[in-house]
Amino acid sequence: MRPPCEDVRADLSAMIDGALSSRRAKELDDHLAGCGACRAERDALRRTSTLLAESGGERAPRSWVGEAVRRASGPRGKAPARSALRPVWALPSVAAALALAIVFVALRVNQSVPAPAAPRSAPAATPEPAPPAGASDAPQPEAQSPAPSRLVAEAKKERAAEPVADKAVAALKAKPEAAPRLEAAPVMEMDAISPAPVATIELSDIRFPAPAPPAAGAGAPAEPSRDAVSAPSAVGGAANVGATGSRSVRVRVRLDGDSRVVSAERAGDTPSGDDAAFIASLKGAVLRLPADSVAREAAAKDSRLSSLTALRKNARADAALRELLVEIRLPASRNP
Amino acid sequence: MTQGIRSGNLSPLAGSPTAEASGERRDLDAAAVVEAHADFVHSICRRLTRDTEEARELFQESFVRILNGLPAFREDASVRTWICQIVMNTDRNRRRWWSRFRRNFQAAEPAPGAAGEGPGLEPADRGAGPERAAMGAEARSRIESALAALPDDQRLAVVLRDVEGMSYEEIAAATGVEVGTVKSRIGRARAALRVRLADLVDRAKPEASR
Repeated sequence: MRPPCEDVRADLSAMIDGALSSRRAKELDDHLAGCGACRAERDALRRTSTLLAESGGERAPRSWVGEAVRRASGPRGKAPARSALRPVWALPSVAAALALAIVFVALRVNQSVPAPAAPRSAPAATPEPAPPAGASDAPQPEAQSPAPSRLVAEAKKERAAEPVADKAVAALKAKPEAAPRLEAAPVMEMDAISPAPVATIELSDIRFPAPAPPAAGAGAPAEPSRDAVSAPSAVGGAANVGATGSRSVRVRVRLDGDSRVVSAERAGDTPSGDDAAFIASLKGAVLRLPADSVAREAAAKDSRLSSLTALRKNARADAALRELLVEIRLPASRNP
Repeated sequence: MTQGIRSGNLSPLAGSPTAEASGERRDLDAAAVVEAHADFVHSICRRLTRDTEEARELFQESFVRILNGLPAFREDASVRTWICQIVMNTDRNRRRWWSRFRRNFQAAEPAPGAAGEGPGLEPADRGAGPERAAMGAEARSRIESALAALPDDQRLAVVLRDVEGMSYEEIAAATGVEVGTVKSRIGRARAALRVRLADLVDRAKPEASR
């Protein structure tokens, strides 16, 4: 006695894979013996399956394989092997520690630089009157205020606004801008939902001042050493599409402690060669961070602030991240 | 397709303390693991993502996790099942991040799906797999877009079965569902593909019919 066609067709796919019980397979065989339409359907499904199989066999691009091998045998590969017992839950701590290290480095950089801020390339060196330079950019006037406490507040996602350091701003405006500067504000954000938190560094308000007019540029390079890295950004700020003479680029780095994929996004104007060079070097810098530069033991347990203390002890993380921050600004110095 | 890859290349590394002790040896083994499974991982990554750059990142991230996880890999498990689980977990984590990123920063940008989107980095990596021979490029791309139109779970199931040749049991373990669910996903996927690719299917030589 034959089961109805609809009933049979539901199982035809499993049948061609031999995945039916012998009793069910027998039932279907009986049906197919007397039903041409179902036989045709079975054959079509089989050809579909064959078609898919034939479409396979694509090789992974050699460049991908090379990259994976390189990573496997790079500094990461030589790092002490993670304990086999805890391969998974080491990840959150790594990510957390990395994020913390970045805040910490940002704090240190800020402390060592009394008057950082967002230097505007003022074309023709016209000092603007009242409003701080950043005020014309819609998003945040507070972007001018890289007070350490503010960075921490951002880390906690408390957006407490702090008064702009007027003097610092004034001093900066007075200073002629000869060398292009890059300002990278590392701000982290921990993924509270994910079981393996992801640390995100956002570098925004990276300004490439326009080639300075000869008159304005006559001043001095103003020691573009480590001062150039400051922290004027805010989480979630909108893109500052270049004001006259400068461009803003937003780059978002995703470090998940384990794999360090750098995803860079530009916001604002069209991509240019400069941006590409910048992003490439950023990627390189992140990938070169030694795996064990991350203080696993400094993982945040209850609050990030308490872990900052633990993190201070990890000189390696500190050094590696400092190097990263320094490296980030290299392309800007090369910028004409 | 399953045969031959299973465990063979992994055994030198898995759980062996001596291998871990020797850094150089470790590197060699890691490279061998990457080589052995690159095509498989690539195949899954491509089917889980929408553009090449995304696929490449997933591929790299997955291999980092695979290599890190090797010491904990039990040899009695199916390598492909295990790898597949890692890639899927990695993908899940990435999606979580991406969705938040899009929500926060890309509200004003064009909707995803537009051709040629993505950061536009490293164009050299675009256009994958020089070794495609058996089938015409056009047919291949038809098949890929038909696959892309399937729901994620159906696409993955049918790719693992028909393209990668995994068994229902392996797929069930890899995707964390019952064998019955795998059966029905594959069934629905094949039915949809059979309709969408009707001309190709009908043109295929009917060697299978008895």
